[in-house]
Amino acid sequence: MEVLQETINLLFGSNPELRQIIGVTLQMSVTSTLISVGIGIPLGTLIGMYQFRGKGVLMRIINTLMGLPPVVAGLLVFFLLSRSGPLGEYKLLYSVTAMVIAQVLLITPIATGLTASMISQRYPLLRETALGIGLPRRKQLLYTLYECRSSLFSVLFTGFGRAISEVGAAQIVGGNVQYKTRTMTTAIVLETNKGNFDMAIALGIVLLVIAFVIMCLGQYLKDKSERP
Amino acid sequence: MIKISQLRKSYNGRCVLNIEDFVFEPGGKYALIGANGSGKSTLLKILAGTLAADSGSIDCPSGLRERLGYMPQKPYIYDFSVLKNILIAFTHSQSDSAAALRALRRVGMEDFAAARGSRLSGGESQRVAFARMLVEPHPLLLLDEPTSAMDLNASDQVEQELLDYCSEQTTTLIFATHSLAQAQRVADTLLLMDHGLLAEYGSAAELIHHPQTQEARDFLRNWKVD
Ligand SMILES: Nc1ncnc2c1ncn2[C@@H]1O[C@H](COP(=O)(O)OP(=O)(O)O)[C@@H](O)[C@H]1O
Ligand SMILES: [Mg+2]
Repeated sequence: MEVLQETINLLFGSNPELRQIIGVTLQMSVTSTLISVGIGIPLGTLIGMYQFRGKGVLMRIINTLMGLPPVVAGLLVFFLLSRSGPLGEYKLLYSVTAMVIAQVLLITPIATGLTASMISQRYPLLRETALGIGLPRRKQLLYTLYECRSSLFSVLFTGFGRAISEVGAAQIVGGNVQYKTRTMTTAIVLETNKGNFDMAIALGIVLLVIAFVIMCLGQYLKDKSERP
Repeated sequence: MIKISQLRKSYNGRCVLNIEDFVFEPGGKYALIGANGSGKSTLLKILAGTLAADSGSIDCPSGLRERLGYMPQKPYIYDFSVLKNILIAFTHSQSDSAAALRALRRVGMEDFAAARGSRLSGGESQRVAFARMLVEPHPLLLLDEPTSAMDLNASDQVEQELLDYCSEQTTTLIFATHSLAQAQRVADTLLLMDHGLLAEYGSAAELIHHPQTQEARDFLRNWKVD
């Protein structure tokens, strides 16, 4: 009962700290997803469309990176940004930017790998027809992406799902600083450690609700794209 | 004329195409026949330039490659309207809706002009893909089992349109088919492929009624069963 009460309070009350946490969470997730997809979809498309030496090895490396444990990515970015690290002078540690960098490291391989395997599978058939009609290269690419648009939406939302739910990397490089880098997931960890289980569960439910709303929006866009 | 020589292709060490030499005369109509896996599609892909041969050469008039038309065994119909699927095939001339609709009418698909490409049946897709070949003049037309999914009426109609197109445009036609009757009706030369080799070629009368090789006799014997 208390959990329910807490959840309702959180969802419909006006808790300024919660609003701030949600803001940071969305800012971090949306930014890192857009950057990752902006790199991963073009890169994956190129890898998927073309045959070249070392493609098999490259795909295996990408597949390995797709399973990169978030804490490892977090640690890597931590060392890069820490005061004595190579990028230490920018003083980015414990900022939203640091969290975005770690997330991009995690999600870009996922976006690249998913796109590359999807395009590799569909491109051969598309290519035969396109070359058979004599389509110029630019249109070939355009129509290939168009035919794969629904899978590309899935790549986008898979990336976002990963970003919003991730905790390990955000904790390490963000540091869970109140009013600055605290996200939904790191707040849940904090509340759990403090023994405030009701609050932790309530935050979890709020996170799920937000994710659900965004995924519904994604599904709507995806369905719409399939009915031109 | 298109002259191929020493054309070879292997997959994982297995030779799937090995043709010593052959000359396709301009304006000629050639049917590729042969069992599944005999190399018909492989030869068409190499001629179309979508697949690279391991070795050998294809000599053809300059500019022919850019203007050839090729319809693969599984033609892809894009997920936009059938009409737009035709319009994208105007790659050398101004796209022309009236001409596109005429091409659709020639394959009995004019009622589908506004339909979604991805919703078509196999035979309908083939008819649209074939119509796409008709909107521009191609000096060389390569068709891979163009009527394999069509009903008999559609297939007849397409054959007729194909013959008309080829005589209007003086096109060289090379097509694969599993119908000996179709090969006989459309082509003036039949090429029998067997395990990647060009086993025998000749006019329908020669090849069907007086096969010279054991491969051709085997192939035709099995054919008469069905
Ligand atoms: N990408 C490929 N990888 C391996 N084997 C292939 C590939 N493409 C075709 N083959 C093989 O090459 C042979 C010839 O194929 P194909 O030219 O498509 O035959 P056909 O069109 O006469 O039925 C077949 O045995 C087929 O399995
Ligand atoms: Mg074939």
